[in-house]
Amino acid sequence: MAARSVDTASPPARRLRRLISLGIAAYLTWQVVLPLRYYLRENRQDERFAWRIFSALAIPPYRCEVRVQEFAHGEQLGREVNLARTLHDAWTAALRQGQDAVVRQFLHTRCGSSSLVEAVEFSRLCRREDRAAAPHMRVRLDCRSGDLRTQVEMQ
Amino acid sequence: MTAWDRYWFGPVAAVRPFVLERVVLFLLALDAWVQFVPHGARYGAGGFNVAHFAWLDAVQPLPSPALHVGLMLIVGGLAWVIACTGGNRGLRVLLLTLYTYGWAMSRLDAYQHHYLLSLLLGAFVFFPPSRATDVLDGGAKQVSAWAFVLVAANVAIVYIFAAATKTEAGWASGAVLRQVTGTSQWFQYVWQWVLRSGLSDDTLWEVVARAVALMQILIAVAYVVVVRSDASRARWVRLLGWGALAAAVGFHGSLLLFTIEIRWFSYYMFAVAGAFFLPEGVLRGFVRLATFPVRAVAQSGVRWWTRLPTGLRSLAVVLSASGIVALVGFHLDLPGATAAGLMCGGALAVMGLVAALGNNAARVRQVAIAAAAGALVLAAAVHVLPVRFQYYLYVVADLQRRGEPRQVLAAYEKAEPYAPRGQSRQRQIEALRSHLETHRDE
Repeated sequence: MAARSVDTASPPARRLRRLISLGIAAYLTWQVVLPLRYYLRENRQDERFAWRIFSALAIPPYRCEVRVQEFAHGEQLGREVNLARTLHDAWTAALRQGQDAVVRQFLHTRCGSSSLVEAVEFSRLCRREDRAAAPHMRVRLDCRSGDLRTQVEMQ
Repeated sequence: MTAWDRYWFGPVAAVRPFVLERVVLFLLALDAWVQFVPHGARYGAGGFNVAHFAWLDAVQPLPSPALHVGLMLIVGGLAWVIACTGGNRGLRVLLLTLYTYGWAMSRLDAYQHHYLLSLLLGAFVFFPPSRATDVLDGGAKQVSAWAFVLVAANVAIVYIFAAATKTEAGWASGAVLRQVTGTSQWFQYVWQWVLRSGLSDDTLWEVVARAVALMQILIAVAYVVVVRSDASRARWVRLLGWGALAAAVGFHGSLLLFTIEIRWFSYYMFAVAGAFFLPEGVLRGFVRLATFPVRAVAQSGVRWWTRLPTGLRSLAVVLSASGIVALVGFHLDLPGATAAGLMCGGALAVMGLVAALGNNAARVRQVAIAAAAGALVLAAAVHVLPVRFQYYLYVVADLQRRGEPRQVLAAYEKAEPYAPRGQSRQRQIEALRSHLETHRDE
């Protein structure tokens, strides 16, 4: 039987190989470190580069309700923001998942919506069917100082 | 060469990077057109957006449906053209940039495999240029393709981290799997059948959960080992490749059967697994079969056409192609589509002009023909699949909560001409019209 002809293109020159090797090493380090940051962090709300094929946020063992309240000067009781009328459903889902960046941005947007608003508060209350502890998150943004306070506890 | 050099720069069958690149690009073209486009209506709704990177929020305008849809139509077109012609490094960088901006512009797109696709597109920039004829002619051609090997390492990292998450209590106990498979009737049937063997329900869930993690580790190991299989004669390497292929197809195939929203992730992973794990001969057969129609047309040589002067041929082809691309954009009836069609048609025309002045007219003709063919495939896909219907129904869904009845009616009326059989919204349209008629003075 005749041998198959094998045509092999030559690899890059030595100096270029060295350069590419450095690039490969840097790239692979980045590829390992980026998801590793997620796994080493206590707050695991940002799954974007973690390579979780099954999202812990999208398939949680609990259901969450969210609300946003705006506080005018001197008011103890806040005015409820109608999320259904304000946001696209997809963003409300992100708030339900407790995505930090979305929560922060939305609070800043509400602060900018009126000069009367002094503070905005987001709360996310989760409940498990088996009544075991589930996360309760409160984030309050002071519109004047820009001070952001986050409280997360299991209830 | 050192062991490191042999690993990254040693020979791989030329058909592997070729198949990986072309199949992923064809999938991406169709994915952009039929999956991304319908979801474009969400962008900028309510004047709110959060980009994936804070710096992007600072520099970009508020994304809009027209921006996202137009961008995705262009991304699909570019992917199509490169898949057909191989393109050049500039086009690949452009595709990488536009596609990555497509998902990075908003966290509305949170699919991790879209990020993975950006990594693949980045690797494609450094893939060795090759054509189907290069791969098919001249026996078993091998190339040095470090970027292809890098894809293997990258995909292995993905699987290792995916397996690592499976050590968490929620997964190891089978709780996540129960939730994912809960609504699948066939799975419940098979599950009950297996339980008849006497295993307890909890034990079986734990076994399956751990088996999935093990499967992912096996796939990861296979990617970094089998990538060198073309230079190795070891039988166990080939067996590992077959095992990993079965595991990858089994795992990603099963995801398609459950109600988890992962779009075309499984199809991409099939393509990647096929390119790395299938024997070279099978891949060459696949390329031969897939490129047969184009090769047959090219070989038949339309004689009157080849008798025309080169400049005239190029001009005729490029102008016709740019006209077709622009017309398809206009015909799509989607926000941003007309602009995308005009931009692509215009770019083609400019390219034709440059080619007429330069000496790569044949290459430009190929690109123009591929672009025109892509535009026609896009038109056909949008005609056959409910892309526009879905797009306008997403608009309806949002407006029903945030908009006015008149806007909802307008969106319904846009969707109705594209309704697939049995999904007409005429009843809702009549009801809204009647409601608006009754409350006309309010």
